[in-house]
Amino acid sequence: MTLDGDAKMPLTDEGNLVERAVRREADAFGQLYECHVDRIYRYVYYRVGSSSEAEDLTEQVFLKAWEAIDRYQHRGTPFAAWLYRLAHNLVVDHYRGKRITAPLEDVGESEEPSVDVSLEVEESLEAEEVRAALSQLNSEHQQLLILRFIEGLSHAEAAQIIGKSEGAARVIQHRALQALARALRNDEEKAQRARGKSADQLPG
Amino acid sequence: MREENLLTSYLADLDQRNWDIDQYLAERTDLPETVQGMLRAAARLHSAPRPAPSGAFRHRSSQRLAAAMAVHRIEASTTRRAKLLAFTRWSRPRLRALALPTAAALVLMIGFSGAWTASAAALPGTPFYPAKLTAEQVQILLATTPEQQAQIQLQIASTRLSEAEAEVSDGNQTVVPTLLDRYQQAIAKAQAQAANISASDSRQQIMREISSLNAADHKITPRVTDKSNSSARPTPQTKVASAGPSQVSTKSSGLATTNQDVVEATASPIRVMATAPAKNESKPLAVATKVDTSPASTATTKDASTMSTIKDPIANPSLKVLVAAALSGNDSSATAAALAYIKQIQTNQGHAATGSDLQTQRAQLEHALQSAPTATRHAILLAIAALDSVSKSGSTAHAVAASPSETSPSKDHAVVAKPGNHQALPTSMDSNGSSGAPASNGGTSPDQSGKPTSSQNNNNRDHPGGSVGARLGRLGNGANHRDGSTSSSTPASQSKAGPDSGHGGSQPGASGSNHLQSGTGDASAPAAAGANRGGSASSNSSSSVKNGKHPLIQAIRSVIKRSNQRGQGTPRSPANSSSNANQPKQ
Repeated sequence: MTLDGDAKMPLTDEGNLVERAVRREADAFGQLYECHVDRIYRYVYYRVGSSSEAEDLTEQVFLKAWEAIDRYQHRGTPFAAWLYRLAHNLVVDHYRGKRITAPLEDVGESEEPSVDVSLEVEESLEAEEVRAALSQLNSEHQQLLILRFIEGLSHAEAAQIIGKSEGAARVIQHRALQALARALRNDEEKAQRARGKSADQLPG
Repeated sequence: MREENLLTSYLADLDQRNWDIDQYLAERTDLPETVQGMLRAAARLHSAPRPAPSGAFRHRSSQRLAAAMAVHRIEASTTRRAKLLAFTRWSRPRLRALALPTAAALVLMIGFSGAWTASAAALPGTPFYPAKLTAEQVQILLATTPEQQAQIQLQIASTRLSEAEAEVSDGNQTVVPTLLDRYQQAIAKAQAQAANISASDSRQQIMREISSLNAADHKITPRVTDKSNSSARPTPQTKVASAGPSQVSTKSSGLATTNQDVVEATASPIRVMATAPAKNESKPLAVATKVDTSPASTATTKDASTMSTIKDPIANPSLKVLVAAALSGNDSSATAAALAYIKQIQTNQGHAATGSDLQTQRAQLEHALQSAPTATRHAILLAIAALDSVSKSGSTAHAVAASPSETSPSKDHAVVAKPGNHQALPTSMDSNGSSGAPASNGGTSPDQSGKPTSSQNNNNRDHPGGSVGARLGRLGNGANHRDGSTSSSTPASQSKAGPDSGHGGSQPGASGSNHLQSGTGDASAPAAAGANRGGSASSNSSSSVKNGKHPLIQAIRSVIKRSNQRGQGTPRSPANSSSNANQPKQ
């Protein structure tokens, strides 16, 4: 998968669309929305872990994009990269706002895993496990791993989005994978311990 | 090779093997355990499920996006124009020329005597106003300690609030959003300075002052309410003396005329509600008032639908700004836009706006209400309330002249007004009766509400253009209807909705339509609830009016409060929080 859009649209077409969207043509922007809404949703989903919050933020990404599209500079940056950046900023703001504003019980509520309706139960559990592990990483690590392995972007593309050099992106990827492996191992051990405990409690 | 590059090459190999991690690791037993773990982690991410947004979300979101796109372009230009308008009056060169020497003189005055009262009463648009602002800046410069700074900012905030109040009661709302913005800025600065105060006593003192300023009832409400009462009270009586054939139409005319007076006086849509208690004071019975308003609104709708369109409603820039701001979820800009829009429709009231024009705008607002984020719904509700009051006052003359069948819509009125009910009601609290139930749920958003009952739907359909009461009852969650029959189980209605429970209790057979009627009659009450939503205590807006709290001021204050409380989550009024408690997360 590349940044050309899920709809396998030639990059030139998207360039044309983007130009028209920059000129505030709603049609063109609507098409861009259709092309990119899924990937932005996925990205946000793995950052926030709740489908309702992901939907909310995804919508905000596109609203922001429309508001700010004047400021989108083509200069070889794919439109999707710009969207990912907006999404990243919104996710960061989201967490920042939540930390400051949300009463405790609300935070607890939204931290609960929410089953994504678009996934089967098993898939949903797996998605939640992956997200739980990702959530233990710092923002940059999360961002890079999602872009590289869930969105399937190249080092160069991911580096462009997070605003680093390709070499730096490799280093970040290395550390992020280390951290993720650790988080997954910890989660697994925890789950095993929990299972062991409940097994102990069984009679006999 | 550096380890990150090694990892990259392993990952490339893995990619070539289609991410079959088990096979790859079986081949590469030489890899250290940590690297294996990292590759497994990468593979797990690679095969992680790809959730997709729901179809409903796509639909909703693309609609909202389309709406935002449609209005955004206009918003940019209109906002600029609105800002210009807000400042035009004191940015004229002539005033500037005057302002500079005045400011200089004031600076001298402050420098030498500390007195700066000369311009203290200046309002935006008056020659002294820039001088007043300059004087404030000088005071800030002269303040050395955080405590002084905070005190001055508090003073500035309080001044802005008084100015906003003065402008509101002068019916001059263009500058109000700006003033409120500045109020908020000053409060924010005061809070920031307060945080720097080392002595906890004085810090707490400042914080107390901030919160009392936010409460600020004593400062704002009495004057405005007095004004509303004085302008509202005499009108119905004169109309009663001079007007129409039946009691019902006479009163509706009275109320509507009152609306217009009030609208002209203060440009506040919610004043419609303020007039209700004022009227009721001269009347012994509560429910009569509720009945009164209903024919007016019914007739209004019919009348409006027969009118021809003069203006294209979509060309209304303020409405577009409002919708855009509301959809963007920015609550203070939505409120500002709502105020601007209200001002505009009220200014145009006399000539341009026709019934169908307003109806179209209303429909657009309702549409926006359904997709707007919770934070900005109150702004739309405010605008809807204003629209209703304008359309009502604009077309009531026709309503009165209309056929008796239109003005005496149903037997339910007679039923509602029957003496038995009146006895069941606390007459002195009649205004509570008209607003208690809607106020308890006015803030509930449509998405979050339970399904309305079928009788509600039918009732609302019977009164298509209905009043705010009926409309918002439906847009809200219709719980006002429920209040009638089950008020004892609803916390908010327990204390406030006595009259409604009176209806339900005394006429079980007709409770459905009675509730509609009472809802319809409460034309302005739910609107006020909507306006007050999320803000200062609004569990009973009519009694607030009675107690001297002006609804618009409450609405404004609620905006201020909310922005101040952003650090503590979404504030809710007690009644709203009770009705919001079980809302599903959106």
